[in-house]
Amino acid sequence: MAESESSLVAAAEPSLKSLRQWQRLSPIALLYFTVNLFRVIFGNVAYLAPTIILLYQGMKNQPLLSLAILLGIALVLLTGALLSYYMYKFRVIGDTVEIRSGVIKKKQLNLPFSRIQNVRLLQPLYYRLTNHVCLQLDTAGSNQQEAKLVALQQHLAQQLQQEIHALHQTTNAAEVTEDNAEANTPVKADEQLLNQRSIGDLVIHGISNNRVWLMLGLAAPFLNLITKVVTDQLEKLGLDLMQWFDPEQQSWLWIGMAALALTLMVMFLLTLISIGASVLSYYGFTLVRSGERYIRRCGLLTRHEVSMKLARLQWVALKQDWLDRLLGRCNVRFEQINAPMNSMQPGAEQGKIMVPSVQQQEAFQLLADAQPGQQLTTTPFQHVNWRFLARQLLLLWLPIAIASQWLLRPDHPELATLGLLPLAWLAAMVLLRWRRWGYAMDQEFIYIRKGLIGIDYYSAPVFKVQQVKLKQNWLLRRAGLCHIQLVFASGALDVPFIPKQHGQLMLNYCLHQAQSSGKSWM
Amino acid sequence: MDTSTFSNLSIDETRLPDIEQLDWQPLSPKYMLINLRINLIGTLLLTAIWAALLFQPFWTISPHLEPLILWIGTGLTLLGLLFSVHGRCADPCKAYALREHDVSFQSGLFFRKSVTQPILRIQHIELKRGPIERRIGLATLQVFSAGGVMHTFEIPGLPLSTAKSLRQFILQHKDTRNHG
Repeated sequence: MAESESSLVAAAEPSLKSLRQWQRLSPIALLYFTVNLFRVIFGNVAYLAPTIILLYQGMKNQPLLSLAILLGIALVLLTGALLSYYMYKFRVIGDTVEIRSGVIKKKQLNLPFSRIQNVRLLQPLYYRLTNHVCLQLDTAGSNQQEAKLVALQQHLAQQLQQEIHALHQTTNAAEVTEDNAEANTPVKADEQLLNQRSIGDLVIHGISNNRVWLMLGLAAPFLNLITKVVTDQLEKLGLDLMQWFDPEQQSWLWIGMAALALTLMVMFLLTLISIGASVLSYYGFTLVRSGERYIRRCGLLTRHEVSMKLARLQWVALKQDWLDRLLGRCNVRFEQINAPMNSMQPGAEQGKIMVPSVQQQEAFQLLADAQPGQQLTTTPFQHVNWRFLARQLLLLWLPIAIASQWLLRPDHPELATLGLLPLAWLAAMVLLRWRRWGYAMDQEFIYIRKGLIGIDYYSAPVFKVQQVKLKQNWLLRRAGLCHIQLVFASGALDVPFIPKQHGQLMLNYCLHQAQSSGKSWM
Repeated sequence: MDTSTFSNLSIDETRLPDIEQLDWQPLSPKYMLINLRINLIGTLLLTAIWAALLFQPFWTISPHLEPLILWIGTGLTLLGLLFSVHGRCADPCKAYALREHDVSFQSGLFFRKSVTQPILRIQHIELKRGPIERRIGLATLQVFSAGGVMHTFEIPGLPLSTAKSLRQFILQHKDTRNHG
């Protein structure tokens, strides 16, 4: 194996040598920077929305001026992209990647291969023609350590990736060599297929993980405008929508039916969009295991490949919301180090691997492969104390109930009575939330269960804990309870309202495991 | 409630090192004093600002705004005072503890919180000293783990020599060195 590695590295030498000098990226990166800037700006449209609405009126009054301003903004953006491009230089020298970047705040990053946790190749659509990729290097620890080589020739990028992996392999002889010949082939010889998603699964994922609702909420301020445009268009087609809903001309039954039909149609459209997005980002999803590494490949336009060393896995989460529950599916998430803000990648935010909408059986299989010793399915869960319920009801439910009844009862008694319905629903949700909260621990793992209608499960090996916290206020102290928090590299897991001696014991045990196991968390 | 879930742990539970029996060390008394002073001076400054705004001779404030500034200002001052008093009472609760393999810090008057950081999991360590801390010879020890910035472990108000020896202890620790 050692021989094949050295020959691999040797083969990579000649062309990688060309990266030893400080150099700019290929000009195609300009596109990337521009797209990125636009994405940063329009990705934050949610925050900008109120401003835009405020400005909208002004823009209508002063079309020329606003056009000039918009052009000005576009110009600034383009200049920004150009400057970013010119300031960005990199080289690969020895076993270190060095990047100089930054327009106003200059940065120099020195990244030794040994510190790199994860290498990802990303190919946006506009890189396909010139065969470039964006190479993303993830590291542990602080945010500043994340590096991107924005535009590299694909073969160079693959060689670099190989070299980085090879270095890790020489330090860890047990690992199997990996063949990175072609990112697009579904499964290679030494890879074991763990899971793949069919179009049908992705359609289900689109339905159950509908994020379009959020967009609809954002569009609410413009609803008036949209309605006007739509009705105008329909009128041109000879359809008078207003007439349908006019109680003078139509019966109430008809109006009800029309409203229902319209709602259904809108929902149908939204679901279609969501399905489209799901297929777009997860098309051809495969999760394979290559030695001690998980590799996920998917994407219709931009094909993403994410690989994760199993040793780096912090916890596995099985996540299910109410629609998932209805459809009998759940999302399996393999979470590793919380690498700070990467570009929004479907299913791979922050280097995590998500397997969309799998059936329960598949979920447990995946879990068993990733964490052989866990007993999530057989472990009995303990409930958190009923005082959890008391807090939620006292601090959330009661104020809402009193306020709504007090405001509505005198003037609209029937509305107040009707309001009891959502109140009852809310109380039921609180009750459900309490029933769902559960925790369990065995020699190796801590398990947490939570959720409302759907259920989320977390399974984390306790020796990987980074830090532990115990919290108590005087009410909890009197009741002999506490909250605990276990911090992992992938985030924090909380267990509230548990008996003090349980909490203490769990923390003592986790600390002991972390300190005495001698195993690395990554 | 029973502890049946834990019965299959391999180690005798009662013999695990217990986070309840830590040997808590107080912070420097200077820290409490300076904290109180900073809080009070801050409150005073805040009060001075709104009072100056109200009583300056340069321009007149509309009669609608005047009571508003007065009320909001008084409210802010009161909040500042309350904050100072709370700080005065809460600061003595802050303490740190060192064991062979971890550091702990506890804080909070009403909501008591204790954080324990295994030394093995420490990524890097920083001594932070602001201008005021430098003048009175104090330092803040910051410890970073892979848990992320949100969970940075911090001990404020340490005498510089203590902070330095703590840092030395952690850096020299075999766990840190093996971790590489």
